[in-house]
Amino acid sequence: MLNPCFAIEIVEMSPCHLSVSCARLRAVSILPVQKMKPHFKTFLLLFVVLSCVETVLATSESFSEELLIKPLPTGHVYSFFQFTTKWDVDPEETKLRHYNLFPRSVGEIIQKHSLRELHLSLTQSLWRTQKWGYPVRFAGPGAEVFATFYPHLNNDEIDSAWIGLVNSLSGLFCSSFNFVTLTNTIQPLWTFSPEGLNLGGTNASHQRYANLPREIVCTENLTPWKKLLPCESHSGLGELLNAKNMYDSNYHSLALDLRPICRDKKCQETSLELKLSLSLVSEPTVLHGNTYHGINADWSFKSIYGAHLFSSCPRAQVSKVYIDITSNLTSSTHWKLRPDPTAIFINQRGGSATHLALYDLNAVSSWPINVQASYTKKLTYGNVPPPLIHATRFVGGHGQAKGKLVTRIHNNYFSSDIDIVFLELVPWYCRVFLHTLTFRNSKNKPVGIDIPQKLYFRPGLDRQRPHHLELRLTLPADSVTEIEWEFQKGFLKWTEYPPDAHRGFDLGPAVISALLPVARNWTGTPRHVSTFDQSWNVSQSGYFVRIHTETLVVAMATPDFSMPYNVICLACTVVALAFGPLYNLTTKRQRLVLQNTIFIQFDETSYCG
Amino acid sequence: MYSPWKSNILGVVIRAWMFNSGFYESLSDRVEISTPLNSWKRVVEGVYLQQRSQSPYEGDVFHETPTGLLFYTYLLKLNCNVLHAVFILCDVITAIVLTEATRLFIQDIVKDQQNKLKTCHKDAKKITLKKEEVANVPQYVTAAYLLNPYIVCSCVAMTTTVFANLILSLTLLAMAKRSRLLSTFCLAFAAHQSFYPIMLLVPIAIATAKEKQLLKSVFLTTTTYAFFTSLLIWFAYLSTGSWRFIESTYGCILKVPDLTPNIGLFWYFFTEMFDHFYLFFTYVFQLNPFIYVIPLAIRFDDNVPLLSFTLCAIMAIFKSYPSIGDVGFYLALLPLWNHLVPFFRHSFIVGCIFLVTSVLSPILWYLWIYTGSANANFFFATTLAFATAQIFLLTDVLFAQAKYDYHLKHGVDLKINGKEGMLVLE
Repeated sequence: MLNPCFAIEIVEMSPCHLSVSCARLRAVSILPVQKMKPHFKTFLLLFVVLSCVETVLATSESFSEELLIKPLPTGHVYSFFQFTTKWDVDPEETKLRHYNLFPRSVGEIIQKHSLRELHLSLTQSLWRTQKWGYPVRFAGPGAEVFATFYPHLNNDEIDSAWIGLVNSLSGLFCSSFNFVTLTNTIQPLWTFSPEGLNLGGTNASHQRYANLPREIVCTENLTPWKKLLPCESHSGLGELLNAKNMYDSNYHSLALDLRPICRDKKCQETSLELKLSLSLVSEPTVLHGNTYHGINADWSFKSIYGAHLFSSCPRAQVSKVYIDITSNLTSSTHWKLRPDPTAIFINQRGGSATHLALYDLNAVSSWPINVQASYTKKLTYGNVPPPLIHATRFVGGHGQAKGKLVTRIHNNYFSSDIDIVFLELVPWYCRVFLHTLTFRNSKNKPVGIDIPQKLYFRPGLDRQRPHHLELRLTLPADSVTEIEWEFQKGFLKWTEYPPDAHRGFDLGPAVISALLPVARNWTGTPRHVSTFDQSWNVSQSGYFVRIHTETLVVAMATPDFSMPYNVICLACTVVALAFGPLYNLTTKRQRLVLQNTIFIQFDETSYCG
Repeated sequence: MYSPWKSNILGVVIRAWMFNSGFYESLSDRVEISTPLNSWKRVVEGVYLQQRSQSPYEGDVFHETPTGLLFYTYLLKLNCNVLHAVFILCDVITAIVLTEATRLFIQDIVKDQQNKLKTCHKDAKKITLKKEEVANVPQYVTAAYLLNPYIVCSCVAMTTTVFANLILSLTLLAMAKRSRLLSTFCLAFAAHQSFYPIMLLVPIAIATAKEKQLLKSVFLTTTTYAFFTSLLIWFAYLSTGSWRFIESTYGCILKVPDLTPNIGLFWYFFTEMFDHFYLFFTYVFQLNPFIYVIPLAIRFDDNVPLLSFTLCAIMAIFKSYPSIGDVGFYLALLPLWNHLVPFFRHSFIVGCIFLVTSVLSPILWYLWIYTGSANANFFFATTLAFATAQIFLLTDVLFAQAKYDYHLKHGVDLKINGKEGMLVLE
């Protein structure tokens, strides 16, 4: 796929850049004033006054950078970088100007395309829920984008805003979002709902969702993403984002989440929250290579990110690193952290306790720091406690004419049934048959599709829109539920195939959303808070998860791309075979002639009897 | 004398056995039998969506008419065995109706010949039809329909072609009975479902014309047909509440958006077509079957059975989504042209191609789709050969009729002043 890489120019104008040049100007103003001519003095004074006015006019922005590191039971290390910018402005009422920390390029996109919420992710490989538990930010393989638009727009306006948005994003992140068209866009009904403050007025028709399962994520996406950070990668946690090490990992996912939130506790006004996050799963056991002494699972900033941390971002109000040390205390693995953390605390949430080590970067006295975990014992792979819900998906059947889409959802919770929402987006060329949709449960219990209102199906249209299925299911306790339906593979025009047509076509992941009763394996932050800092020990009534299954590759029958001329000629010849004789028969008269006067004629068309 | 009951019973038994032995599963997915327009799976999907109070025309799976949808909704309420019985019964009725139509047609042909005997050559009596000779023809048609493997497969795969053929045969019967009202009524249904039968308006107008009042007949036939069709379409609109079905049914037939392979000429041609010529060739290929109608009607204006047969064959060859059920329909009428067989030139070749392509096409499909050792061209080749065979068969019948007519008029001997002569078209 082509990546339109014209983003760099736009990103060059990032706010950090601007603020640097501003600082330089102010430095100029400290130069000996007396040497200057009087009219220049007044000019300078005016400038100072104006910049003061600007400061007064500018609404307050705050920035926090956080890193959560969680060693996983499989020996992997999960790092989650979260950069949160909160801007006390309501873009629906005031025009966005005077950018300070908030990236201007994002702000312009918000206003240009009437965006209320935007969630996008660029992910390489699959998050293995069964082994790793739940991530902080859920993302499906490939690229995924979900947006909510202002309620006053009608459907056509939203469609054009959406197409404009994905093209802007494609430029901003140097990605293939421009391959999102109305043929792979749906209006999600239940699965994706606005995640921010409920400002009302919007419904499913104001939402758009699309995924590009085949998107490859690499350095050219990371670089423009990093430029959205106030400190870019010059200081703070951004220093740790080295492309070489990022893309040497088992899983990585870039995300951008934009939503309106409450400005303060009273919640009279709204603020804009931009959360840039990066998930990374590294495998230190592999990074170290094999040793004769067993598996070495030691890790450090240097080994995972390829760098020490030299500073915290001066613009950040909160600059913290959290390390989940629960496994150190509860299981047989023992590892030590160096240097000593600023604090150790317990996070009690939904029936599970997590022990965390905190490094407050604003309080660090000696730079650089390289947090290291060294194991006193060799790592032994333990039994991984399975998460409450996890799922797998595959294509059934053989041949290139038809197949089955099968999703298996496991509910490992013994105590009660769990309600989920299941979403499937099938491209138009896989013609699904709703009447073949079947549900099987390993305990033969009903899955709660008893009324038609629990099933939403919008059939696809050839070359116009995809098939869209959403189900509200009840997964019986401690059982496996299988959802299966049949599809016929379409036959496309030769120009509609991708260049490597024989590889097959990618189907995006099925998305399963649920509100879990307990927080086992759950890592995220509650929706009403912005940062980890505010999220500890906040209990909720339910813990939201959104699981993405594997993407699938469907082999499709291909025509012979090399012979369009031959096919056109041959088919037309057959038509001519009918046209010739019928034309002769109906327009000419029969006549008897002497046999020897006729030249040898092979042509059926001029010959009768 | 040959008894039609034997073939009726045999036909029913074969179908019932095949239904019972689970042939539906394997046959209903065969592209030669089930097309996007007639596949039973799509009908079931359409009815299922309708029962969920969702319009089946919202998506691109269901291409039947709302009238059909209503009918299938009732059909699908039936028990599975009863449903199979309905399909078998429809085939048997089609066979009986075709038999009756053929009986009337052949009577007409014989009567017509006897009327023209005065203008004929004295030798012509050698080749004129006798009543005793043609007495068996209708029974042959029964057998040719019920025992035709194409029709049997089409019935067991539960394609809606079974119903299309039933309506088409009723149209032919009404035409043979020279009833304008009935034939246009049946035609309205037939064309409502699959559009192409609209070309049968011409033979109906000729068949129902009184002496030298062809123009009046054309006008009356067209008007009654238009009346019935607008009634049907209005009814369809009322039952769905929107015009979306026009796009799903006629739009799908005319624009050929679904390029699933079938035995026709469209699918690979339009798969490989350059985008900027797509529209142009869609027009060309859709107009193609229709341009033959008027010339043929002028050439064979005294032979309505031949004209109807030819048009049925042209439809089956050149429609956008043909299936072997359509081919079987006009093949069943071939016994009508028993007396022309001596004048056929390619019967052996045509027979061989039919046999070979019918065997090869499933094999090459398997090699292309399942084993991946062949590609699309192989299957395309069989469909091309199959279409060629059909075209040869059709032109053979037409040329044989032309030659037969010549012999009736000028005698059996092809001699000029005692020297051997031959017929040419100039």
